[in-house]
Amino acid sequence: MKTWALLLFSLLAAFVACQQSPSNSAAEKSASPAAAVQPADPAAGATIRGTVSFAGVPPRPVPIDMSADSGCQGANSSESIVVNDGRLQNVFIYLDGGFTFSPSPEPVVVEQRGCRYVPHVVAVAVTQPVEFRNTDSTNHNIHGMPQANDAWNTSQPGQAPPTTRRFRHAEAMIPVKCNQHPWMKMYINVSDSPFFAVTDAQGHFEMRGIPPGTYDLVFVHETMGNQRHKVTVQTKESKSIDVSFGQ
Amino acid sequence: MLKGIERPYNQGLHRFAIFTASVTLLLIVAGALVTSNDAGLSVPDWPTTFGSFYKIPRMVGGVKYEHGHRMVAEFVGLLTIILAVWTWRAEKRRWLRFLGVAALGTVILQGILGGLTVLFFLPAPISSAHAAVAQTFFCIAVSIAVFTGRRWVEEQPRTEFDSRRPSLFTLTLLSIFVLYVQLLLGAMFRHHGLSWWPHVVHAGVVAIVLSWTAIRAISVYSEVDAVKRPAVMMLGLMVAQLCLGFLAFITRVMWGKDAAQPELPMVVATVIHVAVGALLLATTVVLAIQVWRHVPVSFAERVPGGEQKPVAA
Repeated sequence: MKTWALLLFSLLAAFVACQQSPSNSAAEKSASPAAAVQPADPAAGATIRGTVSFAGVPPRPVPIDMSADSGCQGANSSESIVVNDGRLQNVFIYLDGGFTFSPSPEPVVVEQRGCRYVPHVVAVAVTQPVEFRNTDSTNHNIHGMPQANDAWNTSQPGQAPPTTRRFRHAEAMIPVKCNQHPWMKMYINVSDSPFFAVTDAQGHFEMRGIPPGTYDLVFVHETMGNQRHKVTVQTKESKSIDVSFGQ
Repeated sequence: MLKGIERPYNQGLHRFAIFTASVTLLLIVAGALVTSNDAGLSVPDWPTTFGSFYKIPRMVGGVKYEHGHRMVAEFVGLLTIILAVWTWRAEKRRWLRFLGVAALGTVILQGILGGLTVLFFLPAPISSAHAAVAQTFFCIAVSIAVFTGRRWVEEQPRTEFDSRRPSLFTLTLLSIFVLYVQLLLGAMFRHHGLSWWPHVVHAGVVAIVLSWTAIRAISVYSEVDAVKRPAVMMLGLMVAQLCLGFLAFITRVMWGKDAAQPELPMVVATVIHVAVGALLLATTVVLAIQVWRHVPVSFAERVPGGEQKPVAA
């Protein structure tokens, strides 16, 4: 009797565990309004700019040991939270408003340099190409792990021709890593809005040519989650939105 | 005492089986290093390696672990082919010949699963199946080593009938079952298919079942060496595994949660935890085999109740 009870408990534990889904960062989905909004003429549109700050004492960048590959030269440190003078870099921002637009055909370039992905966070529009270049002498592999788009894993020898990737669905913070150099990580953000940006080293961002209306302005960070702020702009208005993230 | 059917002891085959099992344990360590160093997809293609079947790539970074694992796996595959053929030709015990074939089938399946993990970008269910089949193959290799050993082949087994319920054999089977569940829960966590807590909570179940089995074996059958030795080893390995699990938890879940790269304490703790887990499962299988041989269920229990009444001739 005891044996069967233990067997049953063991099976039950395994069954319950299998119902647990791992915590994943959800893909950002736009709430589509009833009518699609076309981007305005940049000269007549509104501008939203602002600064993202970090509240509290920022963590120190962790030095990275790259001795596993002699082809990795230079110094490297973690980039999950990059704060300069209290300003937070690498925050993805987009205006959620159900826009229809033609994505730019210009590729956004990601360079594998010094066994790092440069830049650490990029943003593209849906179907806009991302171009991967390897300027190192060593081999890298590019392993993307999206939720809403197709996963991929390709090898790129040193100094090889660039490879290009396009994404069909909007998704925030797609992790990309190199399994040959496990410290190499970056994030690709795919926007179905023509108004998006990534904060620079001073935490600044700017979006121009926004048609008048009320929208959600969404801020997403790779480890500190996301924030939504309602924003209303008029024709040719310039609005400043400052937000803060903290641990 | 009746003499058993003569089976010649084949020392060469036995030593080769031990060697194959030992290299398999090294392969399990190599595989654990791949996962702990997050190197699983550093070689993006299979069955080729960067487009070639034979060229050895530059063994740096993750490639060192991934391709190194593949090379050891190929060697184990070769050893298994030799073991299967040798067992088939040399052994008179039909069931053991088929066990050799089963070992070969298992290692082929394991190779295919390993390839699928690469081609489908490490899905948690396939990666976990790859981990489970690895330890199953290790148990088969260890079993072949036991069955070809001198003690098994030449000695008359000392038997003591088991009248307790559940029987010791049932307890050993239950032990193997809970260890497999624990293995799958751990593998799913390592491959990001589950959180850590099911594996940790279920460790308590494993501790209870294995302790029960070991205490019964050691206390009741202390005179049967073939049962006592693996039982003591199983108990020792279980305690060690619980300690290693705690260490792996600290280094991986607590300290390593936001680590920028796999850190040495985490890699060492998790790899040893996987290896000792494999040894624990194999030891439990050996215990089950020895209990089956030396501690059969008592005869009276095996006869259905209605037929126990004697009838005068």
